[in-house]
Amino acid sequence: MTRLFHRFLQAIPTLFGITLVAFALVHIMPGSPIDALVPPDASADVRAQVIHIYGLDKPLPVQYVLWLTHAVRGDFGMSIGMRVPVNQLLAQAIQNTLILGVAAAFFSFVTGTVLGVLAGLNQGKWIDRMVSTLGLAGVSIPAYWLAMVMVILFSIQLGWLPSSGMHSQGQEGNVLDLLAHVVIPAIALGFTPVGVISRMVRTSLLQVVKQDFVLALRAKGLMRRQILWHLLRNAALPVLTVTGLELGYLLGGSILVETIFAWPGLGGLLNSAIGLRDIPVIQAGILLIGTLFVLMNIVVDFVNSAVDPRIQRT
Amino acid sequence: MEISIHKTNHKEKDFKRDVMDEIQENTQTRRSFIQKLYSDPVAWGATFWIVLMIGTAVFAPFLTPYSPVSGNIGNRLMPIGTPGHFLGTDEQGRDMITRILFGGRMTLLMGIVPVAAACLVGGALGVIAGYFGKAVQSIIMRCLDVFYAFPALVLAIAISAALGPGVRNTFVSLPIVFIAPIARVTATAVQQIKGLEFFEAARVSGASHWMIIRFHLIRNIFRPVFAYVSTLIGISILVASSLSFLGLGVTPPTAEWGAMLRSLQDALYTQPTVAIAPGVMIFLTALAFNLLSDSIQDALDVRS
Amino acid sequence: MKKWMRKSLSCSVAATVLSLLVVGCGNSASTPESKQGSGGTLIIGATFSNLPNMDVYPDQGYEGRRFVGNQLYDPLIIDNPNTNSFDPGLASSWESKDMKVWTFHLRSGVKFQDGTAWNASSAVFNLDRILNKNFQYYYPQVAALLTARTKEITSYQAIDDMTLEITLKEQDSFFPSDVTQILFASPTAIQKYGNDDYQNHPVGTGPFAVAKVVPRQELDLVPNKDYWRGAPKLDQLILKPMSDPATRYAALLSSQINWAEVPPTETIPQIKQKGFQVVTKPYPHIWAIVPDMSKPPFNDKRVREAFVRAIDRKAMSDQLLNGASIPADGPMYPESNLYPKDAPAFDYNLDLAKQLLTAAGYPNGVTIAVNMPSSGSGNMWPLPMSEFIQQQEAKIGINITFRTYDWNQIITQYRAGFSGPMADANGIAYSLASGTLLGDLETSFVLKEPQGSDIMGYDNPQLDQLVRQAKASTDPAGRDKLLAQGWGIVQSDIALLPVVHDLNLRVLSPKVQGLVTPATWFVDLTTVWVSK
Repeated sequence: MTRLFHRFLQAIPTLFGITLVAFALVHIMPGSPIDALVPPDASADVRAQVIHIYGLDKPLPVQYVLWLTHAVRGDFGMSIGMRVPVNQLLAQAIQNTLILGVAAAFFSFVTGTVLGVLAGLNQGKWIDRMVSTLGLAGVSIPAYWLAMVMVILFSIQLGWLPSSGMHSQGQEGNVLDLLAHVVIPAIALGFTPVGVISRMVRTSLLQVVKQDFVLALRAKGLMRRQILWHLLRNAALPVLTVTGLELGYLLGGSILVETIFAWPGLGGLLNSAIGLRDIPVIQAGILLIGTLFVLMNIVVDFVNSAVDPRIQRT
Repeated sequence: MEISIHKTNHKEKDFKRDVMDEIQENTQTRRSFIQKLYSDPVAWGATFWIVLMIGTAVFAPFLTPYSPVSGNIGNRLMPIGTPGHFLGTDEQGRDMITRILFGGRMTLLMGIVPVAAACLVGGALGVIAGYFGKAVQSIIMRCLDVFYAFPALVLAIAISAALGPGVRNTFVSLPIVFIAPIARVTATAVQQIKGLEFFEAARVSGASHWMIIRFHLIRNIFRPVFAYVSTLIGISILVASSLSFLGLGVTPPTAEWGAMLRSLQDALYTQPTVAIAPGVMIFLTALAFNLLSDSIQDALDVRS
Repeated sequence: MKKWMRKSLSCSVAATVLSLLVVGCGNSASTPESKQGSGGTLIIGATFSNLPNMDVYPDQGYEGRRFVGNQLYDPLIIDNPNTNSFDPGLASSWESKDMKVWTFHLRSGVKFQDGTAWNASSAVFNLDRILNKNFQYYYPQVAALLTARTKEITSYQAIDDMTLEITLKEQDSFFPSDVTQILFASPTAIQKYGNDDYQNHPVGTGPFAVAKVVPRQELDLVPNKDYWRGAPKLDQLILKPMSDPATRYAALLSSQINWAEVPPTETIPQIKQKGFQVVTKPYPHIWAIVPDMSKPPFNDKRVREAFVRAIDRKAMSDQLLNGASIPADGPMYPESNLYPKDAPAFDYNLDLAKQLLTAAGYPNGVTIAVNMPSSGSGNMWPLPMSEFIQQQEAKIGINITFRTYDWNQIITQYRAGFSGPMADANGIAYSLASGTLLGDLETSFVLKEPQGSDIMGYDNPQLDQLVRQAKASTDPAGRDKLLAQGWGIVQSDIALLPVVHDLNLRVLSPKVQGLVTPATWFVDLTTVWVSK
């Protein structure tokens, strides 16, 4: 526990740095934030008034401190583009991104495990090579392109699945409908980590195979299927950890996939906010992604070391 | 492309062994590395594709009679197999093969140059961090941790958005993305070497920092760092084309595969095979780099 | 071709009457079948990248006004650009003897969607909100956006419960066109929610009311059963922001929407073949590059002419856009009675363009920067269009760097002009869809910010004189003649670099019925229904 606490303490300077990056980026952006706030033909006093309301008349360091103190309290202000509290937008967006992320992680976990087991059981044979090439293909394929190809195929040509959005009209609560919408984006997004996961499964499997207890099981004359089950149970934790870690990386890939599918998540929100120079949203979005990413890393690290004490030494 | 940095974590653990190999069997490994690579058919295939791409990119103007930027609007969106336009034409009536040849120039540049640039900066930072002791290291690493806190693509998009679209800005934003992981890998490699006998010996003999870094360090960390950096080129190609696809990278009319996918998006439903062609090129080229990098790692025996 | 799309005489007459979104349609435009039936859910894939703000001056350009502003609210009177006249809205009639004091007789029996009565005091409340700085509910954000429309007003008062009087600084026969742009919100709702939050709970007198808002995803509207012009036929109207043409097309094909604004042009043949309804019609619109005439190279008319002549606008319309536009020689569209028939045309001519450029002192060409929107209201297909222009201009040595921005950003830049954030640009690609043809000449080419939008730095005393005359005119026919002359001057001066006139391409599912194809940017959704 102290170790986890220690890791959190270590992360504090990083989190602080993230806030600096989030704040600095939007101030490097071309175009004054004021132009996004007030129409340029507004009278001088209106302009001054709005500038004051947003605190833009203060020096940058003061603005940063003000923004930070609000952010720490979870107050990110109002979206300029949408005139609703940023919190409300982010809360909704992160929820939708998580739905997509979990679906994608599920896809890559299942596919990666199956492929990894196949490869591990056929070490050195052609299946093994195919799987490793497929894994590399996953990292080499542009997710947005895969998404486009799948839309043409499955939505337009075959008409099996919807082409965009998160739910059909009037089907907001329908889980099946949501599933139909999530299939293509989740596969497009989840294809990338398949390679990493299958490689991980294969490695863990091979490591476990070498261990004595497998030989013992074999000696006991257990069926192949039963042995496999034991193998999987022993290889499961590291694989789950990797999948968890990949969830963080899916967060990054989502920005493109969400844009293509009009999926109302964090990536899409950030992308449109960048287009609109919606500063409060950009800042909060970058901060949120960075923080989630760091926390996810800590948790994965912790789980890793809890599972495998050897990791602590390195 | 999201995987890049994650891979590092695994790599790091292997460095110790790798570096040991390095020092103990220096000459021997070098020969066996090349031999291994030489006897790997996948490496051959990947290298062939990469050389082909580089060759066609360099000689693009001599390979096609058409202009990559201006077309004949009357011939727009011709299907694949049209006489004179084997891969069809794009939405402006430009020959697709020509665009793909010229687009390869941009894509290869954006795969290699940012990684090379990041290698210089990140490598230097890593050497400094690893070599000059704990205090320096923790300052540099804490700063770089901030860049580590974002998925590569998010960071690239955020920086590109801040700098504005254009090729020049892509060449700024992409290296920034890769500096942190390269620095970390380098620092780890340096640390491993620092504990070794020959290194201590060099220090005791009174060699200057610069001499030690120059003659003992860089030579010995080159291969593990190289193995890692080779994994980044494929990623760089993907991230760069994603930026162009979002309109944050290369701007029209310059041909670039990601930008071509963007401008052909409207034709996706009428000429799908033409519209997805640039994506096939991105995929094959990134795959070639990744396969080659994989073979390099196998040959260097970096993999667990 | 669907029956209801035929352009019979009666249809086009009715369409003219109807152009105004708000005026009820005689059924003359509809075929017998389309008279029957009602109900259904209309789901529109609109071009905005985000839901417009819902105060009385929605953002996202005229697309925001078309699908949100005009569905929630009504103005006092409604513009009819095709005849350059006006139709009654929340005012059943209006008059002015001297063109200076205007009296509006308000429509009786109209209620806001929250039950608040429409009368002179609610009208004054709305005017106070944008004009009276001491008013408790004065709202500078909206006031600033309406400056160009309220610039002439010196005072206003309720004469009696149903009569509003507005006094202007000077004679202004264009004033009705300004009035069409001012929409009226329920005072009760503004008082209840306050200025900032009001736009999340908008209440107007319009045909539709807000049922649900899902930010970034959709806006659900329900019909206002008590609408003064008759309840809309639909059960539900849903707006979805979809800024990408391919996304709109895919959504239409997979039945996620049943009405797509501007799909990719290359899909037109495919769309027709699949049995969808393809709707186009000329309306007052110009897709142009607005030049900065205060600095080189566009300060020289020869460069502007070279620029226009270098673009093969016919090839652009016929080939690139598959017939979804008509080539333009000037800002006024040919169907208008204000169209200057005698004004010079600038046919595609590369040799002449090169000569002009050389004569202007650019024998080796010139490099310029142009800002453009990535999508949005009436901007058609900005990416392929700009790339086409880029290629064409390169042939005579004009090298253009196009810089893409979100549509809302472009509006902001445009309003700020070339001295603002786009000081380093030589032009801005901008679409001007006219909602108020009468005042357009003055606002776009005579008045500078903030009264108008002549950001080009364009000045022509002859034009100013003509507009002054027209403005003071009490005779509509004479006035229109003067205005047509004025549009001719603008066209021959090449104050805008004309490219094409849009044809308002939209695609509807075969189930969408009863639409009377409008000859304006705006559209009347009260006649539409969706069959099962």
